[in-house]
Amino acid sequence: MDYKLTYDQYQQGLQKGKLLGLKCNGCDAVTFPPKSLCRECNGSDLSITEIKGFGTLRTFTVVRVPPEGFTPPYVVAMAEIDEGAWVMGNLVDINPDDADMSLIGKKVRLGSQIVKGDTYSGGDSRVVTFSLAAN
Amino acid sequence: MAEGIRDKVAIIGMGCTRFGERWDAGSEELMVEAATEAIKDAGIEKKDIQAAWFGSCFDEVNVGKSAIPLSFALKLPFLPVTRVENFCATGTEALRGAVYAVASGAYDICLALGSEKLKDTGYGGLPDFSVSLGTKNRLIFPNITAPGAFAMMATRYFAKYGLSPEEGKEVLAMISAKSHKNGAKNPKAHLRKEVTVEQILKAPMIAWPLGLFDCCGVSDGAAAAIVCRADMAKNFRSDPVFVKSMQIAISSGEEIMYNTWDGTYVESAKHCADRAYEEAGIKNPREEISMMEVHDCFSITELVTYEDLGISPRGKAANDVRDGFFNIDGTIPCQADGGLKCFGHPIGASGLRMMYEVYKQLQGNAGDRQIKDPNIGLTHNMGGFPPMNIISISIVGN
Ligand SMILES: [Zn+2]
Repeated sequence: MDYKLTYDQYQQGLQKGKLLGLKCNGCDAVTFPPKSLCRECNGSDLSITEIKGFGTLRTFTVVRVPPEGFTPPYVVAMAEIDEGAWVMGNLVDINPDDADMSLIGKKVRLGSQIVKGDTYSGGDSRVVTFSLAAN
Repeated sequence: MAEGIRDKVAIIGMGCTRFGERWDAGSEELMVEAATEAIKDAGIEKKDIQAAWFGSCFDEVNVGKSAIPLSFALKLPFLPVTRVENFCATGTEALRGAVYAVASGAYDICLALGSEKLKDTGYGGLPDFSVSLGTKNRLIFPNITAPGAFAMMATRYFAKYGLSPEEGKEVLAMISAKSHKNGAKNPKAHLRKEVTVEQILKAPMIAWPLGLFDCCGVSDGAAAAIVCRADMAKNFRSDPVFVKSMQIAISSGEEIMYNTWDGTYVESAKHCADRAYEEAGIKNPREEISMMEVHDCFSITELVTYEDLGISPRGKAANDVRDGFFNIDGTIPCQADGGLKCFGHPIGASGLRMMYEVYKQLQGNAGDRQIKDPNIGLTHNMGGFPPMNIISISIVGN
């Protein structure tokens, strides 16, 4: 099987500030983060595409009781990226105490941050973050 | 043409331990406690069991992997035992295995048992689950917690249906208060105190907008069922409970990775409910179902489940909550035993604990929680997060 976009390539992209996803050559839908099959049509004929990195904040929470190893409070949000997918990540650059319903519908810019490795992850890795973008 | 499992299998015995901080018991003792009650209730002997299904999720927590823990605990005589795991829907998965095995004709009598010893982790929530999410943890779910993942469904629900956070939180508080009222009467529940809506609203925040009382407890417990061929059931007891349907639906990844889902419902629950109603021959669930035990891991989960199951119209479940529709004296009592809210959620056991209450209610043996003349009961067991989950629905009747 031909892996168009490996986990490693995706991680290296994040490190360089590039958000790599997969565009379906059959239906044009964008799958992000990468998966072997198109989320829309199940096709496997995919090409690497760079996500523009903007989305609309759809929902959020302020985590006050974290999993082991994290320091609260912090904001976790879901945004619908302009290419279509819903993505989960921390909303950074905001005081969690200021997070309220007015965040919903706001434009966000995607970035990434490092999370610590765990038993099987092969070291630290990067995950997607959001920050509020000027409208 | 496949014909499903309707009326092919009956539940003839069930057992359920007291749930809670069971420092007095190890996982083996909990398994023995639940199985002993179920075997006695069925009026059979251990040697009558032909195969068993065992559910546990956080297997490392003083239980162990594989089917061996159950076989060892009960000293099952070299029986075929299967261990299953499907996140928080694990308990129902054990029952589904046993029921399908009997329905297939492979066995006459099977045991399903789920057990979990969560308090032994020493942690207030679920222990570290980064490994259990696989690479999805790093691609999709950074530092989210279970309360956080469901809290985002509440935020989205409030936004879509125009509820202010105050209005939304009050509806959620009514759901928890209702369950606490029921659980207070149940000697097997972990949290046995009534709490007021006001107390719930004042509780510390866990993951906004969900506070402490919007979250179920963390507990130890085990529950078990003995199932047999439907045509044999009345040889064991006059009031067996017949399985009308058992369905399960798993997320395809479409929810989070595409934009057809809007975060205010659980997509797989709709698919699962449609299939369960079809198999059970239920046309109008709001009219036909007598009682439900749903997966109230969080108050918001119960709210959207009312809608996902087709009981309340989309966006209108709050009206039913305010009308007391799901109260113990309402039209479809929900969480008559106190639910996950009061039992806590020893993962492998919860689905079977839900069925234990439905079974007792249908037989008229629920004591001072008894609902008037129920004849069709539904359990809804959910594993995972709103965008990525397992939904297991069982419908039984007498
Ligand atoms: Zn496609």
